[in-house]
Amino acid sequence: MGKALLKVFVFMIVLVTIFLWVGHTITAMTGGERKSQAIVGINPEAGEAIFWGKGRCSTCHSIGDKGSAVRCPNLGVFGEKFTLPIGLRAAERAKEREQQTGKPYTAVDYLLECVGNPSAYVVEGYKNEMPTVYAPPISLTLDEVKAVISYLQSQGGEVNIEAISNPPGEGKNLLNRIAAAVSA
Amino acid sequence: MGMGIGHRLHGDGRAFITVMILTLGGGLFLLKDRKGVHLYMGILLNIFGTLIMMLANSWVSFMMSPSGVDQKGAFIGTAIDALLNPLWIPLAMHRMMGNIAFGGFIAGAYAAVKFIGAKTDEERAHYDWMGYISNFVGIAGLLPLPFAGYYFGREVYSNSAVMGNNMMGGDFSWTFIMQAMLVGSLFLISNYYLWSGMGRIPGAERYRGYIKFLLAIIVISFAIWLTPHNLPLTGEEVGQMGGSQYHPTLKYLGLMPAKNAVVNFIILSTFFSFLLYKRGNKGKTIPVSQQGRTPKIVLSIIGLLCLWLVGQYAVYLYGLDPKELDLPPDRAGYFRTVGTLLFINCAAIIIAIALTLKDKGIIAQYLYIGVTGFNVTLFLGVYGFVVMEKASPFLRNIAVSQFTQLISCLILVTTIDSFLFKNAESMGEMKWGKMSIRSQYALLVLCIVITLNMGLMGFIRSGLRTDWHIYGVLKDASEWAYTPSNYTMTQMVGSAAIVFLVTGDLLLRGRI
Repeated sequence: MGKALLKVFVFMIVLVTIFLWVGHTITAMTGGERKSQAIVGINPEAGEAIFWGKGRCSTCHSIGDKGSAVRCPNLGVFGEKFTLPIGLRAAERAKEREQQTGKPYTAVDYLLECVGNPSAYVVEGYKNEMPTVYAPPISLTLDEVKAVISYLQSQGGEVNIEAISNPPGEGKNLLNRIAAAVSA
Repeated sequence: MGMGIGHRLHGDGRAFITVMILTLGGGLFLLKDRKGVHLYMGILLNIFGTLIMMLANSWVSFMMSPSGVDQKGAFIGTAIDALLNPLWIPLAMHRMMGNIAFGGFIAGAYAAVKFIGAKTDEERAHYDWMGYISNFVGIAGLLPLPFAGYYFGREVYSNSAVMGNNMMGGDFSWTFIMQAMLVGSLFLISNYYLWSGMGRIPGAERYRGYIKFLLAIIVISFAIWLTPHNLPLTGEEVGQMGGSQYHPTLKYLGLMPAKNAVVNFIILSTFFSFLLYKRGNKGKTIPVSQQGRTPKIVLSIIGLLCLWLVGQYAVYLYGLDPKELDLPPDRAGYFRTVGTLLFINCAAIIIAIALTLKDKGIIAQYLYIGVTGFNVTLFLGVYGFVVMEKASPFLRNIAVSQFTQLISCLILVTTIDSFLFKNAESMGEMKWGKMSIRSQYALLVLCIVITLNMGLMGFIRSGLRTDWHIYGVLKDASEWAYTPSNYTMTQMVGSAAIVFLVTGDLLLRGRI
């Protein structure tokens, strides 16, 4: 019986070692161990880190070929459906929103609306399911929201931090709404 | 307001607790002799064990889906409010099914160790029999486990879309690929054990020809299940694929429609293996028409149950308003196509029952397995891609329609089988002990893999809270608030599995 147990023990160790190897390989392939990072500033770099990290945007949105999420609209150029990156697409959508609401909209206003009140405009074929990113569990701060918007602007568009902090049109109300919710 | 908790339970909780009460009450009929008392004690142990598990579950499910908490995160409810959190029952169902499979495979491993070390034919025969029964229990728990997992996952998503998306498409998507490897291995190895076991069943050689086809189906399905959507590639490899992280063909296999189709196919194939194994030594059968009224009554009841299961969802899909899924009105056609498919399945149920009662049970089984296999794997597998493109939110309903048809198939075909081979002539006694040593290592793999899988799933379930002690209520603000890598997970889970299995072995042999 002792010999049989030894064989079984060795067999178990071999299987667990294979399991460890798979875990190690997958971790190495997907970028290694990632601990929490302090992200500061309102700029596209910080926004990119939030988009692919704390903000969890990438669990639903891809950007072109980057990422694998298909649940929500791709924010880059992808297939026949998305011919413009979000930085340029936002300007087109702003015109559409202006017609729909009769209020003045700029590209920044549209991007702020996407984050501040995502149910106001849902892209056809997708579900109205975007969470409130400035409330738990994601809980982005106002600066983090602004950083993400600057990152989205950088996707084919022109980054304008001043316009994000002081949006000219409807975005002002949305920014105030986010600020009030974050400080509550 | 009543004092109990029954009126506040959701339908799933009521059904779950009703099953436990019915088992408790039904078991009283066993109390006729010493063996009956022994069995009833087993039932009591399992019921109390489940209740203890549910109590412990309530703590962890509260941490995932807190209830009785106000918007500012203050607890304003009672202990009952906390207990009745949304994920309490789904977690209990998933764990109970998992524990059945786990228990079966643990007992199977014990039998395998004893078989490998056996000195006499009697010992080998005894532990072969024990391995056979244990594997039977393990597979019985394993077959419905993906349904319980899907239901739990769906409830996680319903409770928090952020948590749900993070589970399948975020931090844990690669952990789920590892889980697919482990669960796929469980199905593959348990099938291997069944096929090995056919060597000791006189008459089972009639069914050997099916094995190569089943093996091909399971291996191909397993490979598809493991295929990730975007491949982790080097810059050079990306360049060779035209600058895309997505392989031109394989990318489709990484999407949910393909994965759902093959998971259903694996379950159906394992079930078919199991049917062949069960009927291995069955010879001449007694026609169903000569078995009195019982088959007519039972098949009618089971048929109605299956018709309700599939039919109610068909009716629901026909009446589903696209607005409910934020889709334009013209997308209703997609719902009706799937509804029609479910009605075809209902027609197959009726025809299968009629054929069985006309002594054509084998044809009935093949017909219903064939229709279900075509619907859930081929048709909905391909149609899922169309829906994904045109009406993505409807994809979840496709998965439900696949599962309802598959469950109905498992229930009806098993019932037909029980009457088909009731009191059938035996083609010879089982040759207990005539099993290869390799098959015993298969039992060991099942035990080790399910132990690793339980640890891995625990990592996912707990990790879903990300940097929250209590999700959305109490944040972990420490420097440790990050999700460990899959490698760290395998180190922790692997160590825990070794400690558990070695300690279990020492306990069973009375060394500690």
